[in-house]
Amino acid sequence: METREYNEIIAECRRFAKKEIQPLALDMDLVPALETLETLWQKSHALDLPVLLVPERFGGIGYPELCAALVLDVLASECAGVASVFAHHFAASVAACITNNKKFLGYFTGDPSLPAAILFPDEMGESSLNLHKKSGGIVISGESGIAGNAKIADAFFGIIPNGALEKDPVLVRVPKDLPGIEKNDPLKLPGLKANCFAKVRFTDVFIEKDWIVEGLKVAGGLMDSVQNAYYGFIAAMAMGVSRKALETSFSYARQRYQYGKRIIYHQEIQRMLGAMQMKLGLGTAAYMNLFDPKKINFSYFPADARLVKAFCTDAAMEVVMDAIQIHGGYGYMHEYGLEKMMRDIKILQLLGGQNPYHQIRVVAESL
Amino acid sequence: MENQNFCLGLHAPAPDVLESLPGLVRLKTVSPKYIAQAEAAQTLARRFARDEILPRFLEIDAACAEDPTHFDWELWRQANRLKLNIAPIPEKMGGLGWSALANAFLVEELTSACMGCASNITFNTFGLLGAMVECQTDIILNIIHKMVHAQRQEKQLFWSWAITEPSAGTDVEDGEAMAAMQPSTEAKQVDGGYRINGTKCFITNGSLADYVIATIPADPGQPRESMATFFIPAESEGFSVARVERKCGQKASQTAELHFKDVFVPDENVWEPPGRGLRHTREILSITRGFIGIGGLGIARGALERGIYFAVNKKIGSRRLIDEKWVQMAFADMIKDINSVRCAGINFALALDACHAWKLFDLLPLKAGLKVTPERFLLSESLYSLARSGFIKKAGSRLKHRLVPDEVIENFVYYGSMVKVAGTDLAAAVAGRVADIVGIEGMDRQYGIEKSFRDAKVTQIYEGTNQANRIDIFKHAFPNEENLF
Ligand SMILES: Cc1cc2nc3c(=O)[nH]c(=O)nc-3n(C[C@H](O)[C@H](O)[C@H](O)COP(=O)(O)OP(=O)(O)OC[C@H]3O[C@@H](n4cnc5c(N)ncnc54)[C@H](O)[C@@H]3O)c2cc1C
Repeated sequence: METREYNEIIAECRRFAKKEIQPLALDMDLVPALETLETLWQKSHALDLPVLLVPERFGGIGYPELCAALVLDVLASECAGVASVFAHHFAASVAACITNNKKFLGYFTGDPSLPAAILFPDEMGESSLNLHKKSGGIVISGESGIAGNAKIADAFFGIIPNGALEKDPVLVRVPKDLPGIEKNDPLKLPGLKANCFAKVRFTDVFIEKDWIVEGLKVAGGLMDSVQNAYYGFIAAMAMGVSRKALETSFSYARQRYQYGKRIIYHQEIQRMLGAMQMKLGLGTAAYMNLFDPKKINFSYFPADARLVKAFCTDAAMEVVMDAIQIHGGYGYMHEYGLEKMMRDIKILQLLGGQNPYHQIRVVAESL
Repeated sequence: MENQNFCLGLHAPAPDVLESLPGLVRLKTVSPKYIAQAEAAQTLARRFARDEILPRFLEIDAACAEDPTHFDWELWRQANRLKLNIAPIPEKMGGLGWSALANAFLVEELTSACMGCASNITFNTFGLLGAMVECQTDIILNIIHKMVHAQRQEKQLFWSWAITEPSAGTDVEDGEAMAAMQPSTEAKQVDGGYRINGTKCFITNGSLADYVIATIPADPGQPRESMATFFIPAESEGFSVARVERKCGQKASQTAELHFKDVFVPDENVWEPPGRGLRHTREILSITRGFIGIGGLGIARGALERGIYFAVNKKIGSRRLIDEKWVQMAFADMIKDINSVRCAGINFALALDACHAWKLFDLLPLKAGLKVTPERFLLSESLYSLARSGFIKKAGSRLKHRLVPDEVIENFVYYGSMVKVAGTDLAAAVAGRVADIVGIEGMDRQYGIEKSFRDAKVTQIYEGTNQANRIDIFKHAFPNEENLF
């Protein structure tokens, strides 16, 4: 894709986010409403967001993952909770697209009326999902890790250890309403409130053969690709929030007077804005490079996706904390939207596993 | 938190004043009563935090999230019964007679359970602090009288300290900034007093206040030269609460915008004449900033204790989260930082007892006087009228200025600012880091960690932003900045 095309999509998404998401963001933070989210999802069809990653021959528009990340960056600048709904759907799309399997992708080409959710074999050992044989059929049992889109999802895409076939994990697509599927009470999280995070429990849920894709070198190949994309998406959302925080801080610092001058003329405010700008610029470059890596012969390059996620979300936390600080007391009040950013970023930092833990894993796994 | 192994902080079996600060053992040999009182304060505050606040703080937070004007009167009444909201008032006059040291432990314990609930209880001493500044005997006695009377009657009584305005936050706490500020309030001198107009914002307890202590310039063109301090009953005509803010955290404590429309304040309620308002502000800050630092310490400790509780109970396969070495390292680091800030906070409190406001309570003549004076007389009208006599008033004021001169005030702004920045940066850092350890599941509201995280941020903003505090630290450390090199 050409740079020009990316910029067109970004511009279009920005209009969408400003018009459709921004007016609802603060209300959804106070009282999350499934219907509002569903309506937003419907409207996003006009931009083809639900089929953004699905290849053209399967009825989608087949844009690269980088494009999805940029879209998430833009959506998150108005509401990270709403963006995270798309992020989980995109991660599920990445998994489905890798299979190159018509049946799987059929879900997306049917112009999904609701987003999908993705169930990872959780790194911290949270997920106990497994596949085994029962009464001549194949069933899923166990409990997933904490999953986004748990309430709104139309279908779950799970990467699940395959006890039935004693092979690599498989990718399974499960429609949401099968008997035996139970969603635990959603977590009461301080951020990403528009979304709904919960564990999903499966009690001997019979699934059809068509819903399983195996033999995909799933363990290494598919799982890593999906997880890496997911980490990149989280990083992109964190940068989107930071971008908005920085823009807002610049404009506030330009008009707020203290000590007889606009606070943007205080050196300490300039230092903070500069530090924010530094983190935003480098974080953006880091996640973009993840999706479009330059193959340079440097050691430890390109960075591991988990580290990009850790870096970008930690940097974003520093950015939003500074943004609140620049706004003084106003930054702590709901209507200014900045404290919501802080709560949202906190959850982005934790999504997909704790950042310090990722740092350890990257090294431990290399030994 | 029923876990048997959990015996930190609020769950410790005995007071640990001397364990957390072993150096105090030496002080104990000289002043056993002083240390014993601090230990008793810690024990009582801990029990209150554990038995009354912990079982309810999440419910209160949720109710206030729904309706920012919700206030938990039951908790307030329980604190009132124990006199926690009038703790510094001398025992003989009806308070607990707690030293600054004992109050520091009170603040640390309550804030470790819930900063919002703690503010509702401990910030009530704003009235007392505001009154003590000039040490005009009649004002002090009047305030103490009101506070003790209300406590006995179980009557609600709130004081607000209103300096911030929509156009000026940092500007109202610093002389250089105040000189350039554009005020949103004005006090016009009229027959027998002043007429006040304008808006104050972000005022803690402003919506509940019976009395507001406000700094307002008599000449908006010359704010610093004309800043005055007024004592304004909330029932005054023209006073109104414009809104109660919807905040990120500390929801149990209300923050309000106040409007003044032609509010008349008689001369007798002018606590500081034009030109002396900034000094009044600085003197209050010289005490409150340090205590906010100790509040930050409490938030950090609360977040850590909750994090440890979660990590002890959280299983990852056959191990517990707390068995992970990276988690142990992180907790150790936080314990180190918390302990360092506690040392600074306690040192600040010891200094308040030795050289600042609390020294007044400790004065020998006053002490002796309190000892021999019957309690009835201490809170009586006759003492109050005596205190109103010009001679006594002046003597009180003079004595106070001898004991706590302006240099001492500025020294304490300096010490207090350091404790404030250290404690509140600690709160934000520890709450964030604990969240990073417990992960997304640990951020479910039932564990209270997400609340510590929400509560922490604002401590870096109120009582002067940490930038404003740093400006004070530098100015004091280098008074002749331009002649440095
Ligand atoms: C929950 C809450 C409770 C409060 N309770 C009270 C109360 O009871 N009574 C009361 O009077 N007030 C209260 N406040 C107000 C509080 O004290 C102010 O918010 C605070 O002083 C900051 O002022 P401001 O919000 O106007 O920020 P501003 O002063 O406008 O500051 C904006 C930014 O500019 C920075 N800045 C300003 N000058 C400089 C400089 N020279 N160099 C570098 N940076 C600078 C600040 O650090 C900040 O980052 C409360 C506030 C909150 C949020």
